Amino acid sequence: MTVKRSSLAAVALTGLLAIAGCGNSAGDSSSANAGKSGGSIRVAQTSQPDSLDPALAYTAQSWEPIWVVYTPPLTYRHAEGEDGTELIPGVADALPEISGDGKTYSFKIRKGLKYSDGTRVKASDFEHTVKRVLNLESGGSYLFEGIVGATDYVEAGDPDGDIAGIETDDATGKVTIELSAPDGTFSNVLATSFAGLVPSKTPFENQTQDPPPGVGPYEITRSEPNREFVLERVKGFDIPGVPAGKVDTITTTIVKSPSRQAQDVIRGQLDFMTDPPPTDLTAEIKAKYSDRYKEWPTLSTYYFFLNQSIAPFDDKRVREAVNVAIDSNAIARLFGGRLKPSCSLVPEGIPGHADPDECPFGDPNAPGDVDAARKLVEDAGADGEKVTVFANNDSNREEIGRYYTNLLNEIGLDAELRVVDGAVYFQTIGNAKTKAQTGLLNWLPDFPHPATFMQQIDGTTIQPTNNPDPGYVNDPEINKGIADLIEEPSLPEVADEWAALDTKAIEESYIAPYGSEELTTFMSDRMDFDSCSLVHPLYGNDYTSFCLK
Amino acid sequence: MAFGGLFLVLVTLAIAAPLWENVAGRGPDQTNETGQIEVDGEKVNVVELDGTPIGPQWGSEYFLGADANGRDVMVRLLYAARSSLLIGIVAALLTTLLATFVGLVAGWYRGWIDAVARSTLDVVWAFPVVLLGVALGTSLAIGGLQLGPVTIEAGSRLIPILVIAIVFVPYMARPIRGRVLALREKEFVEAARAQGAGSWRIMASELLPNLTSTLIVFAPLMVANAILLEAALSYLGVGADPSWGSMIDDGLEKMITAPHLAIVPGLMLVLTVLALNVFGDGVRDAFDPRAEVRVGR
Repeated sequence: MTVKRSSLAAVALTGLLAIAGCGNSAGDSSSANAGKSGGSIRVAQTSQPDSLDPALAYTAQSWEPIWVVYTPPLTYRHAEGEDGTELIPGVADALPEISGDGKTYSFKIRKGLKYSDGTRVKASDFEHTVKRVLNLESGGSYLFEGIVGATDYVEAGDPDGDIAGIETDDATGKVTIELSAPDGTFSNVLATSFAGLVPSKTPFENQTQDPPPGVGPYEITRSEPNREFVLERVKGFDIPGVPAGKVDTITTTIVKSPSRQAQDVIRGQLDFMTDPPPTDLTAEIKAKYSDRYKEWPTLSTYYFFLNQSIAPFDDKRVREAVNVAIDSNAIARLFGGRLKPSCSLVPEGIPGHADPDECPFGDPNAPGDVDAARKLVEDAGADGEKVTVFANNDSNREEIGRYYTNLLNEIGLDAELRVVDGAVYFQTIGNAKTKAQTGLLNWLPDFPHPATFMQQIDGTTIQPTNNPDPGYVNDPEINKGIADLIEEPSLPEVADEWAALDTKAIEESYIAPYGSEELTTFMSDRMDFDSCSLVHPLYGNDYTSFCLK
Repeated sequence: MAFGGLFLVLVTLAIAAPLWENVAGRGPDQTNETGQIEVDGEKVNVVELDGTPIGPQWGSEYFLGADANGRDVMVRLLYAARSSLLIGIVAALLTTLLATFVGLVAGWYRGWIDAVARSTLDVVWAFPVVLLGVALGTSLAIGGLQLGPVTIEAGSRLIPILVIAIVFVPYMARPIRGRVLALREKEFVEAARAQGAGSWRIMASELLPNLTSTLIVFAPLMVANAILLEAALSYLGVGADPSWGSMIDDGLEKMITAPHLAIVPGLMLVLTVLALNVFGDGVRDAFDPRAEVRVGR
């Protein structure tokens, strides 16, 4: 998952705010009996989530609320650490049956399930849900393109067309999915937010302003883009393993200034902020409010994408110059010290992470070599080449963009910074018409598997809009490696091969990684920080765990 | 006149920005996150590990300290002055040209030409200046501007200049039109007409010279308004950088540990606009003691 913008912050936040997840009727979350039910809380985000439509939402800011509104066929246990990566049935009544050849998945929709608006959940809703993801050219399309007939459906261009590989029976609730090739990650795909079921009447349009009903402990009752959206607890929600939530209402407001958010949390006018506090206030918060502030490591990768379909990054020497010149310690200062330098695409903590001793361009903790980088640019004949660096306006992204722009100028390019609003950043750089040469990107896993990071360098995922591979990396060896390894059912057995792919990607300088962020959780005094928080390894803040003292 | 002198001092400082850049040893956009300087014989980080930038050193390097990216605040302040003043002055000049043309033509020809001009001016006037500026600036900032064979790049300073010039046209054009309506009935205009002078000749040789005092009175006030709008646009991210507005925006995130990052550019903006406004009042008193002309806000 692209943690566009400060989604990493969202992950950290999730941990803290999730403290409320205790004592819920059907929950597995921690601190089962702590905290009280009821009440309303106010949450702030720095920018509007990319979408509140489950077919399109692809950032941590959007996945946090989406996860508790649109339950997919499978979901993850609401728990911290490794326990949180366990797959459990969601709207399906059991984990899927998988055929011997690994190509057929089948499950049944739970009997009597209803959406938040009272509509009955049908098996055919699953096919409609997948169609919306494909038809709307979602960033998550690549996850479903392995289904037989999915590509034909997209090429036909008829929203109401059929996907041959999905068979549904509304009478029995059975869903059968045929894949064109075995996919060891497909159960995880069925647990992504993209698979969150919506009624078959949901239009083939972005529904952010009017989110469709879902099956979940919360529903989105109001959405005013760029202002606020409101989640309200759904009465009678009952799916084993999915907590029903404790707080009645969660109002998320868009507040552009992290400084103001932090001040509001201190004063109790805000209960939680999804982004880290500004570095300006961190020392004060650590000193005075340590009882409601924490920093958490995340499974994230921060990097600069390098579009190799256009100059100057179509030349490997120029891409290599970026990797040689990067100084992760400089960028760490822009994170207030919360960045752990690294040189791999797959972060530490995910199987397939490349050993830091094998960094092709030296120790990521050491300063960059600007002189060597400049020589590489000269050798490539790229000095003076104009480059536009894209960054968004969330958190510290503009500062990182400035650092990167200055760096490119130091190594001989003619770079200028273009700052795009966070709400449309990924849509902008992921649109082929933008011809974005380079810019900031950061990624959290869609599921605990290196494949979700590798999609950013998988040429088969390239699409004209919402492109998850804005670097247009299309290396046949890597594409084949990913395709082969995905079929392997046992990840630990092929972790070294995934790491080798990662190392190759860095050696070819397909991306320029610089580290992994530690996120923060900062809550108001009203929140029961100690007893009611849960940091999910994938979804960050678990809204079902929020509670008041 | 003292404030006029203050304005000249500010202009001089802006012109001297490259000199100070040489003294400081770094440009306005040059980052220095991991750099160190010597303070009282000891090496000190320009930006600490927790992100706190160094404060004012009152020397050649980092005279007013550094920002979060380790950029020299004093260098940026002076270059921001260049940017803000350049955009403000050029935009005001362009407004004057456009407004004078529109006011002259509308006031002289009257009829449907005047009706169309007035309606257009009323529509532009109806929009709050800042909102209109932000809307235009944002839309042009992404893709730039294509005017036939002329292409203006997205990051060009011409874009805020054009945006500011356009939004302020009604504020000048309307009073100029009113003045022209009065002047066209004067005897010297009738005499010129009787001598066979055409409309354009009359506008250029008879009406325009009589508008000079009006334009002179408007000038400093328009520059002040243009500088303020430029600061607002850059504060909101659709103007130039460095600019006082963008520096204020950057500085707000460090108000606790480095309040001067926002306060100093704010002070420069206040002093500049104050100087121009007071100077403008003086010019108005000298050229138009009946105070017929007022610039709308």
